[in-house]
Parts: sequence; structure tokens; C-alpha cells
Amino acid sequence: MAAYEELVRRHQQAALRVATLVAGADTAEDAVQEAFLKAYGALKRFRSGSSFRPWILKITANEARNKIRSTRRHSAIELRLAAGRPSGDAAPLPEAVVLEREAGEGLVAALSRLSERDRLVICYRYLLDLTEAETAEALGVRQGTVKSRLSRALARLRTELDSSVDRGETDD
Amino acid sequence: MTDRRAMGDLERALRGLGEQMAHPQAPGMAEAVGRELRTGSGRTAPRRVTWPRRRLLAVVVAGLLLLAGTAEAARLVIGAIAIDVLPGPPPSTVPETGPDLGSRVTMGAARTAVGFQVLVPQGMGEPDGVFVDGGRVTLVWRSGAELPRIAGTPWGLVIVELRGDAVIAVKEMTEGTAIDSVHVGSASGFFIAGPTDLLLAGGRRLSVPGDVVLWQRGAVTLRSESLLSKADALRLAASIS
Repeated sequence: MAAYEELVRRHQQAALRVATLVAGADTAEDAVQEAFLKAYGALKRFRSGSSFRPWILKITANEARNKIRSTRRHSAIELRLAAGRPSGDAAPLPEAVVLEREAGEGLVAALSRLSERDRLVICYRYLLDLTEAETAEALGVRQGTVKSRLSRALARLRTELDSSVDRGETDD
Repeated sequence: MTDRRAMGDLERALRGLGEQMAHPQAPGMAEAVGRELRTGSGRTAPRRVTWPRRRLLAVVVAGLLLLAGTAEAARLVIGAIAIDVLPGPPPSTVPETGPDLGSRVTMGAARTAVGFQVLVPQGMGEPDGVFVDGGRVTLVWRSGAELPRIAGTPWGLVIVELRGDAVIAVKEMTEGTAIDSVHVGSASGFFIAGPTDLLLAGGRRLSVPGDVVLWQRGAVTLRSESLLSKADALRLAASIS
């Protein structure tokens, strides 16, 4: 049991990010805890030699989806930046901090407008830095499908970002 | 700004977003998960009782556990077979017959296919059929003077053997089914009298008309089905080696 608790510690942050992206922050913790409990019951089916992370993330995404279905929630997921501290080692200028935060907020807002499918593949490859093979495993698809799915997701994200910039210019 | 540069900037921004995106921190989640798994506090249904291979976990009291109209679902696990106790009547299903038992093979081929020594009861002679389906081997004996025929089948005795702790078959029990905690030789097991269904991996559901003895011997889970009396069924099961 102690070994499994250590596995939970090691992977819970990644799982919480995935659950937040699929079902929102309100439901994420519950979905992740349920996922780890179910994963424990299925451990004997886990292929030894495989990576645990894509496997638990797949279970987590399924649990998060179940939570949405059970609450009949159909509204868009709201994603936010954490209360701000700038990234990087050197202390940036205040203006740079503001600009960076605005860009980040724009990016999460655009991400939240994408479909769950697009959000997930982007999350796995960029936010969680999984390899293509790990992403394929977490999504339950072939590696080739990851490439094409990611390319389309990024294109749609770019469209969302460009259209939000256009709306900002119009508002001026 | 070219498209490629713009896409490169976007990818860099996404990589930086991982640490910045708000999500619950959930301190103490590992401990909470550990606690739920240790205490089985009911977050995941049904309630589960497991029998470790080497030690008896005395959660089910010895004696007759009659399940009639119970509103509570429960699960007992012995090796690779779980017994789900469900409220309500079972769905109507197909009784086990030859084609559903798997591919007919020789005893030697069965040993090779499942990777464990296939056990047989003493005094019954060679089985009339040996079938393999995945990690499961099924031995059958035709009905006769000393083996009453199991309804819907030509068999008087059906023995199923599976290896491993992962549950790969589930017996669903409902109203009117009785389950006894028993000993088969030195091993602990269950005697189940009454209608049950067997739910196999892949979703196939089979009706089990006979009474069943379930127990483990080492890494192998055994299930013996017949219409013998309980005493005779347990004597036969204990002879399997």
C-alpha cells in the first residue's frame, strides 16, 4: 500500500491537470481520486514494462468524463492561470510579467474553447510533455493518429487565438 | 511573422503553460487513497471481500449465507473468479455446452496452452472433453449412473481451472441462491447452490444450472459444477490433484 501511495504522489499532479482540462477544476480532485482507486483494482491488468503515467492518465480522463456525464454538465470548461508568479529564473520587469500573464490568460481561454479531444492531445504533448508514444497510449490511438490529431488541434487553437485578438482590436 | 515561427512560439507558450495552469493541488490525496483502499469505505461499489492465496480472510462467517431479496450488492473474490451478489433475478442466458467452452484440445495441449498443470479428480477416469479458451481450461465428463445430468447439457461434471489473481470471470448470484463457506481439503472455498450466471471476459454470459464448488489450489482457481450432493461434491473436489 505504501508503494501505491508513492505512485499516487508521483502522478497526481499530472492527473489533476488532465482532469481539470476534461471536467474543470471543481470536479478534478474527485475524478482523480476515483481514478487512482479504480487503477488499484486494475493493477494486475497493467502490463509490466509499460509506463504507468499514460495508463493512469487514460483512466483519469475516463473518470473525468464520467463525472461530467453523471452531473449532466454540458457547459464549457473554464480554465484559469494559477495565482501569478512569473516563470523563469531571472526576475523579469513588471511590464513583462503583465504581458506574459495576459498572453497566458489568452492561451488558457482559447484552450478552454477547444473540444475535449483537442485539449487532451495538446495537454499530453505540451503541458505534460509526454512523448508521442506515451500520448498515443494515453489516448488509446496509434502514434500516427497523435501527429495528425495534434496538428489539427494546434491549428484550431491558433484560429481561436487569432479570433480573440481580432475581437480585442474591434473592442478598441 | 511566418506561420512556422508563429507555430513555434505557440508550442513554446504551451510548454510553459503546464506549470501555470490552475488546478487543484489536493495535498493528502495519496493518504486519502491509501485510507480508502485499506478500509474499503464504500467509495467504489460493490463492497469487496477477498481471499488471499495463503491466508483466510475471515470476513464471510462460516455457515449458510442465504441471499433472498437482499437490496445490497456485494462481491467475493477467490483467485480469478469473483462472485457478485446482486439483487433481483438473473437475466435468461445460454447454458454452457460444448461450443461455448472453448476449443477442444488434448490434455497435453491444454497444459501447454494455459501454462499450468491441469488437475483432475481421482476415480473419474479421463475426461470426455478438454476445452481451452484463453487462460481457462474446462474438463467435462458425460452424465451417467453416478453423475446426474446438468440441465441443458450432456455433462454430469464440469471442472473449470484458471490461473492468476486477476479476475477473469464473474459469477453473478441473485435471489434464491445459497452460498456456503467450505473447506476443500485444506483450502477454503465456497459451495454455491442455485441459479447463477458466469460472466466471462469479453462480455459473454453463461447460465450455470448445476451446483458449484469454488476454491483455489496454489495459483490455480478451480470451479467444479455438478448435481452431486454437497458432501459428494466436496469429496470429489478434494480429490482433484
